[in-house]
Amino acid sequence: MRVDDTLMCQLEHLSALRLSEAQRPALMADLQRIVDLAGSLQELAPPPADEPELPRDQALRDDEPRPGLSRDQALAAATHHDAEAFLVPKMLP
Amino acid sequence: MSGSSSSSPGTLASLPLHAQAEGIRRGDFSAAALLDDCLQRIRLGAVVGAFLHVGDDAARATADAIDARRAKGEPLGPLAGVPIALKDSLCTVDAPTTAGSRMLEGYRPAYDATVVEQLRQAGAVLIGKTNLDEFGMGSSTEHSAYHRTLNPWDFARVPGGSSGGSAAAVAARMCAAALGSDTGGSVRQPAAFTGVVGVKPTYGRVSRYGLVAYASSLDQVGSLASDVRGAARLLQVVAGHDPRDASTQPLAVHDWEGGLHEGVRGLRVGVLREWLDAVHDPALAERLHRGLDALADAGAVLEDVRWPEAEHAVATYYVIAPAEASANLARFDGLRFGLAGEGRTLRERVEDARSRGFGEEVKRRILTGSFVLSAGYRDAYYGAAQRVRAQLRHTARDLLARHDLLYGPVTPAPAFELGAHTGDALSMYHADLFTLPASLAGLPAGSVPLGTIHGESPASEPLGWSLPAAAQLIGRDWDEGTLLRALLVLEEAFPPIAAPLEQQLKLKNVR
Repeated sequence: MRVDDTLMCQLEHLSALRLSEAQRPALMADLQRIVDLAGSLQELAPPPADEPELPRDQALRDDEPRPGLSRDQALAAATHHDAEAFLVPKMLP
Repeated sequence: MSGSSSSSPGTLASLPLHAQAEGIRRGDFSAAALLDDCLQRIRLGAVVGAFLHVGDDAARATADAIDARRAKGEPLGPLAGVPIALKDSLCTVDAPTTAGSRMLEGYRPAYDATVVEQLRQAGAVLIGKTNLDEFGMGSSTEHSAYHRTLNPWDFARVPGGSSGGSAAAVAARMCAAALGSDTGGSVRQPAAFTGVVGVKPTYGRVSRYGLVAYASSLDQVGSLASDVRGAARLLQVVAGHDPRDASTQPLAVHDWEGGLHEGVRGLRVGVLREWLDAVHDPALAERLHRGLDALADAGAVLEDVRWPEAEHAVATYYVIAPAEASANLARFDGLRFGLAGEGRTLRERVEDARSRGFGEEVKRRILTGSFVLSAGYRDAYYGAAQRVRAQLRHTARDLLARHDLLYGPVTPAPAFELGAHTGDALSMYHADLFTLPASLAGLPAGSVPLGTIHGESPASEPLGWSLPAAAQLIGRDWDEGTLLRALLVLEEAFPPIAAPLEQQLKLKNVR
């Protein structure tokens, strides 16, 4: 599998990242080496099982509402807010 | 009560955790005096860069409250008055939580992590937040967005990572114990590099609620301490079921500290011979064989074993962990979390926030994760890695059906020099070879010092200091008790060690 400029642009888009021209060559080279390393697993991996292995048992709690953060606590963690709500940039014209 | 003025600086801070707790309980010294001593060590060793934030005022308020409780004769918790450091990926309401990233600069969580709540309930004095590789992604603490951390044994070397700040703080006796997190070795490897004890519990033993997520099928909170007993007590305080983390199991937490002296007589220890043979450093290899002798002398039955899939742990881990990281870190878009981005469109703002907020190693892993999860490649890469992981886990459980513990190295060599791997990501990844298998298998594992190496040699370099050696033990699911008591046998077989912080500071001044 070759990591080329086209694939790199697709990955940047998927990752919501913009790489600088200075960063891209080194990251591309690293990614190529990582992809080559990861590719070695394809020969080692056993065939897929009919039933995928399930994660460990999960101790799920009842789906009931519980106390959460107060409005003031939540707003205090926001970068921009008014007295009632988070403020986010306007995106629609 | 005596204060720190009655003892020389660093005396109280250098006590092991249980001695600090007992000293406060008996009234030999106050929590405030112990805190002062630890803060003095932190100031003395500031150049180490172990901390991102020191909780002076909040810590003092807690210490004073503990002293007041003791004066009134009220019951005290198992960590009452003991300063404990926290890796800065654990959320704290009274201190910033950055995860070592510019993305979270200035972030102050609205809640405490469950383990932080548990520490507060046990009376711990939370002394500060320690440095780490950004979001836990790294093995040297050189990938923190704020500063790198130095190894207190040799300032020219790394303390390991990603919990390098926690390990360095304990090694420099700025505190007796700290919490870290271990995704692929991030507690055990820095513990080995700095000569302290580091324990990663079974996956699901300790809550991750409030731990900034990196790779959720692997992340575990673990303890670092100056001795096994301290690591056991700290782990015991934070272990247990948490309804806010569905991966935690409602299983009893036994008295691990109380069972430490039961020894290893009759225990069957599988020796990972191929791992021992792969150790690069002859002095470390020799020390690891002495560790085996110590276990045998204590009555353990040794038998060589093979774990063939472990050879592929690096490739497996560096598919699965980046895949999970790319999903977990999607929340950092500058709107829900993180640095605010600039731009005309939503996409531009998100890309700007992420491009400026994340460091290079984090970007490398997100890009890798995006690749292995993308349409057309998912089955070939991520699916294959999951199947190899399942096989690796299966073999581990077979081995541990016949053996109580597995023994091997933590790392192929002692702490490496600063910058040794920064230009070569894959060589850094390969240094995790011996810690990744237990993480992928979800098994409990610990690192314990085996004394020091190199420094005793007259042929050592003029500026070369001795460095810690360490062994790793891997236990059965949910059997941290057996793991800890075997770690204690190894600890007691070698002379206690402490990082030569003052000598390093003098050397730095000379330089």
